[in-house]
Amino acid sequence: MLLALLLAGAFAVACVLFVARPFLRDPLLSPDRDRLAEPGPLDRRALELAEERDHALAALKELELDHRTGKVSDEDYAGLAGQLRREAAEALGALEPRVPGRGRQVSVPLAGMVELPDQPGAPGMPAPEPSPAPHEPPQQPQIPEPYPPPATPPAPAPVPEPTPVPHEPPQQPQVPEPMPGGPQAV
Amino acid sequence: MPELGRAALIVCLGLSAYAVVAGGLAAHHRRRRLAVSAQNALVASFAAAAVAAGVLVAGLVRHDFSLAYVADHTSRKLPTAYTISAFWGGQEGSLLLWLLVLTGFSAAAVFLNRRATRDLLAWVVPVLGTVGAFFAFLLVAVSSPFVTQVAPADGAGLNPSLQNPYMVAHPPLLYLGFVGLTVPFAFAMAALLARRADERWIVATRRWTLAAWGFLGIGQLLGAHWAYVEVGWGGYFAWDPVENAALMPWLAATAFLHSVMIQERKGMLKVWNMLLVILAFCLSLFGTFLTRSGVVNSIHSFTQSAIGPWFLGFICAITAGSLALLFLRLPLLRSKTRLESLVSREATFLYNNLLLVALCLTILWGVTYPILSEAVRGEAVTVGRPYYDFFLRVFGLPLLLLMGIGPLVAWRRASLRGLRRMLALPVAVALVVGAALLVVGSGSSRPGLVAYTFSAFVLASIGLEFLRGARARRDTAGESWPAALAALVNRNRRRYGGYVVHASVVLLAIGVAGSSAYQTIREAKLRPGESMQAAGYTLTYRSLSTRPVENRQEVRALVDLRRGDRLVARVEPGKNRYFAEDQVSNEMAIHTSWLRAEDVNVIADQVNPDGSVYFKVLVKPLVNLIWAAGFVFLGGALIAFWPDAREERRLVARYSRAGALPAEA
Amino acid sequence: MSSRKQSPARLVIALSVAGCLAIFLLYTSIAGGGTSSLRPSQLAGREGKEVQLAGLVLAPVRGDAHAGGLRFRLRDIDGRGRVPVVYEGSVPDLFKVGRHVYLTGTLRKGVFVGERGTLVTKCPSKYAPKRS
Repeated sequence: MLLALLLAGAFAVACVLFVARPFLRDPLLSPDRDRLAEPGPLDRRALELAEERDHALAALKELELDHRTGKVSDEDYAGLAGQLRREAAEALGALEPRVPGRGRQVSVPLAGMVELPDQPGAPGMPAPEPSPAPHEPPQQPQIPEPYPPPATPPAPAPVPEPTPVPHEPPQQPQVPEPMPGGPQAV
Repeated sequence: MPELGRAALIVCLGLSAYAVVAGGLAAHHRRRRLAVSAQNALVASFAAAAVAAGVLVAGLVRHDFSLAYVADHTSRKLPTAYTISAFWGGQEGSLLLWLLVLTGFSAAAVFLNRRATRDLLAWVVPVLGTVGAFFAFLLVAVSSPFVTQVAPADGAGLNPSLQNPYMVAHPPLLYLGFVGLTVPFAFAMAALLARRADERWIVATRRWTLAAWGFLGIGQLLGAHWAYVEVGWGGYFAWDPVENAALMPWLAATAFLHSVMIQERKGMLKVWNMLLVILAFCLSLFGTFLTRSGVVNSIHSFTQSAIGPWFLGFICAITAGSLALLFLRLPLLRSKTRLESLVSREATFLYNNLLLVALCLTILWGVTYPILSEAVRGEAVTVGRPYYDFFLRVFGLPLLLLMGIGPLVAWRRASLRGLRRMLALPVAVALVVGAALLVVGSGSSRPGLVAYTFSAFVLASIGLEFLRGARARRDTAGESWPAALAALVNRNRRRYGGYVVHASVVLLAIGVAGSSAYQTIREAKLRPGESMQAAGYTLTYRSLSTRPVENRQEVRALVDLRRGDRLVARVEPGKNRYFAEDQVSNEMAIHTSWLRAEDVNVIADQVNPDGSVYFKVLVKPLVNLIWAAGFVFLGGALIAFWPDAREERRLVARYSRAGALPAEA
Repeated sequence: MSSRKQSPARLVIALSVAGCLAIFLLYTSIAGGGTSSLRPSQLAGREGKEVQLAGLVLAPVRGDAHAGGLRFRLRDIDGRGRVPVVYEGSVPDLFKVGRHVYLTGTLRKGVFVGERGTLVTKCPSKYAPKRS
């Protein structure tokens, strides 16, 4: 019985110490340094845009798969793919500051079905260029400088897979600018 | 040692309560050290629960009958494996198991997410702590496993029907499922509390939900198998409230797993997904409340206990609180996108969701109807098997059909022409199979025939999916068939893992249809030497044997099973009489005929003193497909679960670039 | 689908809910709402109606469930009401004097006649099964 109580006491003390550990490590921390980091409104907006981008890219990949397996006819594919690329472009454009020197139009994004040598950081996601060829990059929606730089080196810059695909060349839709209310209102 | 156990539980309660209070304060005021301290408390609560569990296991293994729980559920002669499984054989122990798993999952959730989602995690901790504190409180104040007494010479022993391997595995697996649903719920609530409208919480808990859902599914199948093999009434599912208690959260979780895919593609149905997660979690709590409180007539439930009102109160509080929170955050969750077409894969997911939720709610209604009618009319009215069977058909058969249609429909907008083209072959297969079945006589049961035909359709559809996908790969990458198939599945694990799971559900449907709609049941009283007929089999009762074994006496009737003139098998149905527990258990004999794909179950219903026996014979076609489906289900779930390095990278990038939390100052 | 209209999703959901309710109401009105679950003391005046009866088994238990019927008496679980029961069919192994059972049947001339195969014994609380 005594042993049990001793063990219990020791255990309780250990727990208390463990719980108090953050305070014991940094006992004198001023309140502004003791902040729990939290995404600010810019971060949240960026996150939402990133999700929109990923939605569109994932949808493109699925569309590609569906097209290859015959569920989507060629005309439907062209139409839907164009629309999806617009959406992705929009989100990407809103996310990325202008990428200099990327005026060249790049061909169809590949849905990771055919596997290419893996590019570092390129998650196999098709990523269209943010801007159509001849026009200079559209003016960016305000993502001002204090945008947190990517913390990790392999930033998944939208490296497009530069491999042609056995389908028709993409009709890069002459979307002049990513319009605000654009593709969603379908 | 019981003092150590009790103390450990009190410490666990204290730590959980601290996690709630400190965690809530830290999240609200954004205090980093306090948040980390609360996380530590949650992790430490797992250690405390583990200590308490260890004390109970030690008491069980040492046959410490001064612990009332040990004395009530074990005996000296009980084999060790079952002695340990007695841990969850009773009310208090099973609550402790729940707490152990809950704190373990909480600690794991905290550990796995400690870097990734700090702001979200800050709110996850108090939510998890709340649930943990509730269960710890029950164990400390209401239903303690460490009640002591004067030690009797021997314990009361374990219910004999629990003394088999299935019952050792079934509860822990189910608990992993029930408790596993707490984590997605906690993340969902945290997202609401943190005012986040993005899907971080879904991404963080996707695999948790999948794993919990998988455990629930496998746990239920094990339970059904146990009921079939051990309990020996010839069936595997009786729509008993306790069985429904596991089915309902599983259905809600299935709906959630599907509708999440819509949110991932179109960012819509955010509110619906929140509701589903709340529903799944509350149903898992409700299920355990039903079992423990004794409010409904069930073969399984514990009799009326003090725990019921506490559970009910907690469930009401959780439901009210989470719905209120959801309502407050409703403006945040507005989606900008719309369902574009009623003929699209998103739409089929929506229909699937509606059917699943409808089935879930009808079962819930059936389970709570006695309680409600007693409260309203003063008289409890129960619904029987026909009610459940009807709604299973009304909602289940269309669901079955949708499993085959869904994969063939394109996202966003499917053209009817394309759809017709895709459906042509599976429909043709289904019609051919249906016609063939009519010829062999399956028309005797219309629902059975429909189920078979739909199943053929779905299997054809799934097979074609794999085929087309592999062929598309071959066309572009020139791989061999096996390589193309492997690469296809590897690249699209969730999709093709999902198809495998669909296939398992189809197998289940075929097995259920066959063994219920097309079964044969015969009963007869036989004296030694006499025979009876059932579905083309002849059963001849030879003799009776009695022998003592370990902790029981076995009475067996030796029966010859013949088909025509050929002796197919010798089966020995009978009964076991357990000494310590003074209990009789039925030992049904099962003969599986692989050639004819059916089971012959022989039950010795009543053994009379004069040596005559009442036999009940059931011939169940295709019943083993149900168990086979379990393996396929497991495989599919594993495929879908398997981490994908590419996708992980993408997600890490998504959340580190946008919404990056700068390193702590 | 015009972009200006409301999302069809809401319409679909609303229609489905209505549809399900309709099916449900149809079923319950045709097939009946279910069987009342009663205690022996509530049986008075229920001659001829099929109900579910739940109670405690009292000694003596006589007869053969497969030949002529098993005869015993059921008592209110917390109360005094009693009723004689006769039952034919499978008897679960857990059946014993002092156990809680329930079965479906009809009261005829003061004796509750149980329907074949509907006798269920609740697992006794001491041996509470693990499924919880």
